[in-house]
Amino acid sequence: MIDPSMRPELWLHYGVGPNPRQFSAVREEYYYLEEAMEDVARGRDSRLTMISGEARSRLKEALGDGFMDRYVRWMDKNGVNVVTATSYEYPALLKEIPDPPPVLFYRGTLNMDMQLPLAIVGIRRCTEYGKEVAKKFGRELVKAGATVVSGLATGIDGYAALGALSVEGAQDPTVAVLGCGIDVVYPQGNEKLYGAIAERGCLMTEFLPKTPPLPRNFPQRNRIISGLSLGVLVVEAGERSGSAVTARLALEQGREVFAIPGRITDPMSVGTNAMIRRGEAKTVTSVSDILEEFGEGGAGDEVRSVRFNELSPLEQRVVKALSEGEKNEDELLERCGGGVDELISTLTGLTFSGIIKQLPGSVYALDTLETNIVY
Amino acid sequence: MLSQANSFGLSGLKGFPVKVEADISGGLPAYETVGLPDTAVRESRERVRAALKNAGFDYPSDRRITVSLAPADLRKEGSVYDLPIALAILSANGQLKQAPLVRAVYLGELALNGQVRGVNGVLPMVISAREAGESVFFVPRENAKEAACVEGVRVFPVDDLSQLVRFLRGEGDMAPLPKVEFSPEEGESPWDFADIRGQAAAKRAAQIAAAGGHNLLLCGTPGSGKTMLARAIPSILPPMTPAECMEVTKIHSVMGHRGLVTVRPFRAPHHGASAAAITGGGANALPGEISLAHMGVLFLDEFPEFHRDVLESLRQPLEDGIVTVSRTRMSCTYPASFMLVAAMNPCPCGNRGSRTRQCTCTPSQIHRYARRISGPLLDRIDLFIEMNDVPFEDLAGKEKGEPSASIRKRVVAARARQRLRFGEDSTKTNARMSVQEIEAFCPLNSRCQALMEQAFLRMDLSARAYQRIRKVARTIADLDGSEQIQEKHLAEAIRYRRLSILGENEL
Repeated sequence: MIDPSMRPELWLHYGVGPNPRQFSAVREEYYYLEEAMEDVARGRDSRLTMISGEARSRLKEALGDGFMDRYVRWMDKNGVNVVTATSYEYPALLKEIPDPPPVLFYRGTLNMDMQLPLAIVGIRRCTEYGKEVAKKFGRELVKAGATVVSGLATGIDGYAALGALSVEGAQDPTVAVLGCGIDVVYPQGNEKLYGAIAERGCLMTEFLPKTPPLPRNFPQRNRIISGLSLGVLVVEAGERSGSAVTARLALEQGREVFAIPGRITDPMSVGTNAMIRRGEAKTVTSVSDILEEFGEGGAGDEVRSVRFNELSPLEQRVVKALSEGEKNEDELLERCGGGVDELISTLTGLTFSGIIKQLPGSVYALDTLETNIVY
Repeated sequence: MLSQANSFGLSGLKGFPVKVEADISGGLPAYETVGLPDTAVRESRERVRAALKNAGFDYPSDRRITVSLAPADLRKEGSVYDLPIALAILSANGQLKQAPLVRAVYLGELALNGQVRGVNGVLPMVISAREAGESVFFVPRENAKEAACVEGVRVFPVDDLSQLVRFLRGEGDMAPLPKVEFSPEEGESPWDFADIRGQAAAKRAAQIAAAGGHNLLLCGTPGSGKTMLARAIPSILPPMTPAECMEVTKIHSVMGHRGLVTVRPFRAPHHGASAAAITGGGANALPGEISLAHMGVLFLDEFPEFHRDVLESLRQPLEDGIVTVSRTRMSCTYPASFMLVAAMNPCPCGNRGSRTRQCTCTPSQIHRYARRISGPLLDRIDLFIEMNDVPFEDLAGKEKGEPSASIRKRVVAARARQRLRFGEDSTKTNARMSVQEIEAFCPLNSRCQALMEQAFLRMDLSARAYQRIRKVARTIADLDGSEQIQEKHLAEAIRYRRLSILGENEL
């Protein structure tokens, strides 16, 4: 149930929209928002010149004909909750940023004081590498007690949330900040993930219900992602990307920035490599690189060890060939010898034991995120 | 005067006897055809009149001619009745005795000069007629060979009308064709497996598919050799048995093929094809591509580009090996036991997984593309293989692979093992095992069970996929000459169940 005391703020937010500056300007003018409501109702707008005429007419409209009742009832019915910047339930870290959203709509459970909120962001059109890293870091950070904050986009954000949700029984595994209304699922096809986060984590947005995912919403949304978090991990970013915006905002807000290095030839890693080169981001190769910044060095990385000597001769040859880089079946056959049937069944065995992984196009690589080979 | 001649009609692959009756009487000059004739049958009157006249016979154009095709309630189609109608009219006109016309079956189309032309569906008609007790056939020379492969019949090839009439009058001589035996031949292909450089895993998958009659999906970047590999598959398939040849020839005969089919069919319809063209249909419920590919290969290139309804209509024939085509007027069942070879790109732009070109597709585009092929359809495909483009410098450097002929030897040996399993005359392959047969012939030992459990955990398999893996493992063991399915066979079979594009629907 939405507290009736929030109504004046909800009313003002409806009028000015997701516009924190105008919102706080009105707040400064009126200590009691009820006075503003009365002024608007009587058509006296001499004290409301700081907001646009359009906003004034929306404020007026929202006063009439039981509108606020319907608005609040709709939210109650759809399981949407509201938290305002003045309430004590508002996330503490988010209060510290320059222009915190005055009103947040959310679904799921909102924890004002998350243990270790960390954002994982990155490109939508991610590579296989980015996908695996995002999932792994999402999973392992949650295991170490962190909450993964992301943007519920396809690509890195989605995979990070997926990794976070894969840890069963975790407290506050993930928070997703939307660039659209709370009742809009974007991108399409994300319904399953959207539902899972609403159930086990928290979905939030400062945009009014039914707001479409306009391109200009996302940079504004990104300040909340970094504002909620102690640090931001950029997994993959192109040359000009939204993740770079999030990282810059995080630096302005005084938060830590981490980046996963990539190959210099990889267009999806240009952004992250540049952040590292400019000294804006700390290079991260394992979860402990992040945790140690927050004095949480305890949880180690989840890597199994396998002794090279215990592998069969063909397995040893395959592992050796792959340690020089990914290879397809033809190349492995040329390097390792043996029949194609024997090679293929060996590859299945190695894949199942987590030593190697299969990439698109029948290409194989060592799964160093899962298994460490001890020579 | 009244007269009649025997002929045959066709409904699906089943023939039915047709009595062609002709009556010539006084009255206004007219020509009437009754007995549910289609347009081709009705037009026969023009061909018959011209053929009789040009062959030098007397045509009673000043009298009333009634031609009846009995039974009157079955539709008669095509030009096959030209010859018996001409003979019945001649007989009714007193130019030919009645007796020989009812002791044999006459089939054939007439040219205007009296020559006899080939018709469709002679083989299934002769088979049905033989079962109905007929043994003497006069058929066009073009069709004589297919008719003569039926046991216990005398087939007289007919060149033209006057030759036949002279023979029936006892004036000339005609020799029946000796019995024709099917001599199955090995399939030919523009490419030999030795010509395909690299792609060892894909070639291995094709070999397994050929050995067990399994359906195969090739997924790879443009230029990776999907089409070339698919077209090379006939070169490693074993030859058909004579019985299989007979069955295939029957279907092809209905669709206008003259002569015997002795090589396994390879059909590659374009992706614009309609559901009726693929599964069979039209007003006459004719067989479609899947039946023409019976005992052979149906190659569907650009698999996701086929219309959705076409792809879904493949599901039931893939499972049962037959297809029933139902139309308002008739319903026919055709055999459709084919090996499906499908080829697709790994994503809309085609470059996903390529190491030389960058993929420009978004995850949702890839997801949508993968979704065009439904889960139930994928469940009916036994082997998936991903192929990657081979850089040119590698192509030139690679040595030639194993030639098709030696791969075919292994395939034939594996098929021989399957015949031992399913019975000597059975055309069954491992791919067509029932669940009971899988239980009986594909037992998994404890190590295999453990491997299978891991596969379930990691790969999200359906129950049907589980059975498919066991069937493929059976074929791999057959190729290996092993009685038992071993761990290595199963591990290899599991590999052919992985397709990375299918993993793209997590989000």
